[in-house]
Amino acid sequence: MRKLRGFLVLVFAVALVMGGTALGEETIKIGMVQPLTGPVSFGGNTLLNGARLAVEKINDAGGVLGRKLELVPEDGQCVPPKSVNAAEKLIVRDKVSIILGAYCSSSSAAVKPVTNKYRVPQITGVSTSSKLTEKDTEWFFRAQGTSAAYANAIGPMLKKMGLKRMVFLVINDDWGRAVAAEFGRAFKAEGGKVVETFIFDRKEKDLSIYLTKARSLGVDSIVTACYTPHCIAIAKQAREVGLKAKILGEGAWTTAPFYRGAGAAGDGILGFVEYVYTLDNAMNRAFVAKYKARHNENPTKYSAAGHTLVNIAAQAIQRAGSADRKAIRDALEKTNYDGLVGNYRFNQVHQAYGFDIFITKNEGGVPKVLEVVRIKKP
Amino acid sequence: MELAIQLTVQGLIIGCSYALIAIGLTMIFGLMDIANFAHGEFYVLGSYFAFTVAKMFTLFESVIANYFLGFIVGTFATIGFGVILDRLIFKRLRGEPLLTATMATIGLSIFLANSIQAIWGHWPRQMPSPFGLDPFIWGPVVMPPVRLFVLVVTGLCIAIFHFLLRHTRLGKAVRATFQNRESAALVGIEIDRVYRWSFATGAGMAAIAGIMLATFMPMDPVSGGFATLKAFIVVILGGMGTFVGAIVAGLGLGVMEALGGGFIASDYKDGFGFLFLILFLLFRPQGIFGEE
Amino acid sequence: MKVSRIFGGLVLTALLLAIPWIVPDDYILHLIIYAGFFVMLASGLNLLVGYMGQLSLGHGAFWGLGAYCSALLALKQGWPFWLGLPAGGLLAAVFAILLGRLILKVRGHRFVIITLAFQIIIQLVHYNWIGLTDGQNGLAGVPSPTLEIPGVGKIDFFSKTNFYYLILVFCVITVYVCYRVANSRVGRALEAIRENEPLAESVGVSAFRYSMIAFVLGAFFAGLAGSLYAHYTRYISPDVFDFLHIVEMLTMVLLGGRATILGPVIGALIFTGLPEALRFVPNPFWGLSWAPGHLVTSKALPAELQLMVFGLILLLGVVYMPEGIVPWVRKRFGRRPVAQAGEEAHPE
Repeated sequence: MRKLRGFLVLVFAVALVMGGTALGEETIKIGMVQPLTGPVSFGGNTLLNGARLAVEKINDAGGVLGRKLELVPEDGQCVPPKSVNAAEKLIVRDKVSIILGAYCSSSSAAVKPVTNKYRVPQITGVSTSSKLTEKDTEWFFRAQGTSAAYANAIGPMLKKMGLKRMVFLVINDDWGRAVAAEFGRAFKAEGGKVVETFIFDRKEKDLSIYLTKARSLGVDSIVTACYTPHCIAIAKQAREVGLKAKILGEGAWTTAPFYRGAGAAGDGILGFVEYVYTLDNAMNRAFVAKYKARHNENPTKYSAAGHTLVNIAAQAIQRAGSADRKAIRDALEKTNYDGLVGNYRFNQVHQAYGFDIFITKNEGGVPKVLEVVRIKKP
Repeated sequence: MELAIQLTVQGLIIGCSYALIAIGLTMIFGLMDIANFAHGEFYVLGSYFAFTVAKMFTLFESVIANYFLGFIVGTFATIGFGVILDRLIFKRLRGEPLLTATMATIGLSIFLANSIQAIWGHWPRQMPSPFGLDPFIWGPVVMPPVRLFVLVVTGLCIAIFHFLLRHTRLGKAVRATFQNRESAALVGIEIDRVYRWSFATGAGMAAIAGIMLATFMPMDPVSGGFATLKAFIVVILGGMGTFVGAIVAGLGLGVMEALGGGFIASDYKDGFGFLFLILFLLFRPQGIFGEE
Repeated sequence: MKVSRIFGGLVLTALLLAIPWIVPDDYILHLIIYAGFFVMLASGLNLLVGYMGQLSLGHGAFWGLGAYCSALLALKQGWPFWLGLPAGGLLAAVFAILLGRLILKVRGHRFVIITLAFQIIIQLVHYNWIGLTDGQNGLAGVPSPTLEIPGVGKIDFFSKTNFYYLILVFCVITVYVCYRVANSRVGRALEAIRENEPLAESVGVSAFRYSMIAFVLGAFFAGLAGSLYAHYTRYISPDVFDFLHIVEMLTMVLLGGRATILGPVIGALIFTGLPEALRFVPNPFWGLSWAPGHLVTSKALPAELQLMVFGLILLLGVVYMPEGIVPWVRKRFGRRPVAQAGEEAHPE
């Protein structure tokens, strides 16, 4: 009996702790599942910063449909079960109208069945796995390019740069492998030769083995997909092994931590990036100024993604004329948003297109835009 | 062929760090019979303490001075921390059943890794390197100065360690305790003191390895677990309780990974070590140099 | 005595059946279902770790194997869940048999490290064998179970309420089987082996045979739990093999109460509920500046802090409360005499 009583107490205690929060009827709630803590929290937090700036601007101008927008961020930590729990809480408890997230592809993929089940529109601005927009995209949108799209856009450039023999040096996850697969395909279509593909584990910080082999293979280019620590390692270790090949590719080549870590070794590297803070358009100049004033550093591509996501969501809510989830979903399909990096529209599987990506070159710790490439409708 | 030589050399250098960390683990394993899953955290802590002094508190103008100050302070701070941990926790764990002790060290490693991340954040950090980036080129071998430094320091550490072990009273006490704890206690050796010094040495070696590696690789608060794992592989392959084994197996693992990763498969590079580990554990559990 | 126990059992049963109607919302129900998987995992793990005292770091591998097996069979071969489920359990069991043959004669640190190496290799394979598992993309679109009962119609386990009953059934089965095993000759043999292996061997108790039973049974339930998990979350990725999960499972067993039946259950509830409860705890560092110009802008309690607390609880818990919460509570509130070594504390 005591055990039974104890159990009852436990159930009620748990229920009390989880007691429902008062729901404001005034605001329109936008849920966010992002890695706010944990190893990739830098990106998640800068995304939230960008999103907050966008929300403030919209609310200052009167909000949407006469109501203020309210961001409800929950920490997904880029861990799929935790992201799922976060999504459940946002949808069931907070009754958000839309979910922005969940940053990492596997977390977005895990949240997808949840938003699908509860019929809540979900937009990701960061996840790159092509699988996400292959099927079951009734409620799922992606405001970001895929490696396939980037490869199609940039492929022809590689030939123009005079590259003939390349190796890939990519991180072992869906993004890295996709970069190798897609860019390899595009490069071969232009007549180039892919000599070898090196795939390194996230924990691996010493990439000199692969750089050494690349040197001995006599290739003229190394195409990468790396996060900040590995990008730093590649930049420095390439110098150490005396590698003369051109280094280019997707990755954190234009982020502030990279410049701090790599220093002079980072110069000359070409990046294929979704956003650069040096973009010269009115919207971005204002965005960068405001971001810098608030956070004391330049916005990252994640900040830009957060800003874009909120604006796309807000416009859809406006177009829908209500905070109803289905209406918002239908309105999202008609998106035609001019943002920091160009125009966003969604195709029939809710994959965005029409915006620009950039080829940059690092010069003295500053990313210089060499080329602007438009992402065409997939 | 040239590539094989170059990769072997690179493997040896990484192997140096494995050897250093493994020597430390051998001491704790062999002496206290505790599978210390938190060992890798000393490797991480060393680099973060050093980084804090060298980069955050830059006391000198010159990079070299900052670097070496950081190196020394980082090593001794980690040793001190290790001694505190020994007093607080490992003393309590000695004699506990394996299940308890192992799980306790796992809990400790989770606590430490996340504390490091909470305090220093998860930005990739690096020790400010006083070494130039451009390498020495000796025939087929390309040797960046910093990696030469690793070789030299490792050699020094091993030499000093060997000397201490063979020619000092404390070293004799350690060796005696290693061979037979009860008898050592019977002849009046202060076992606790032996443990404390061994723990300190182990922590110090791991810290040195960490600081050196942090000079050319970006630091990461969660790499402790990885380092611990590698150390276990080395200790078991080399033979639990033999220092020669730790050194040989450490260098060997480094070379094997370099050659395997370069010539066979880059994505399964870490798998080679584990495969060998399982094979050894099943068919030659005493490792290369151990005695059963 | 007996009457109150039957009454208590009935009330408990009624309570368990009524859970979907009692809990405030689906979010809590989701958490309870999530805890249910770990009830199965921890109970199975308890046989080897709790009753026999052998530390296995490989249990997560069996969980993942069952999940992937069932998901792949459903996605690639179109098998219904009801076939995928036992397939997942059996695959895990087969791996356990093969692995067990190799390693169950080994003791001590070597055993621990081999199980860890096994877990890592299985994870590596799932990560890199893109053709089979699609690597880190994971497998999406795993279908929810459906059940056709002729004459009654189709029950679909897509809804949380229905799935709750499904997981409840399997939890009960798992806990019951573990209870029977623990109270049988097998359970007594395991404890005898734990207390004094050479002595047990000398009276003819084969450590190898009994540990194999515990190992394989635990793996089987882990595989079943994996299949259920995959068909509930409808997405599976190599993250299931994360080291942290096996640490969580072990914590549930050891701090919940090893070598008891209730221990892993309580452990599972506590250690799935607690991290989520922390979601509602405000971040004490919010608004503070940890570097010039950088504010802590997240209201969420940092994951690092949560894990620090978890590590500390684990460390202190195994040292200062080695038997776990359930036996400790029992001793404190003096419900029943504590079991002597070798005799079974009567579990509920």
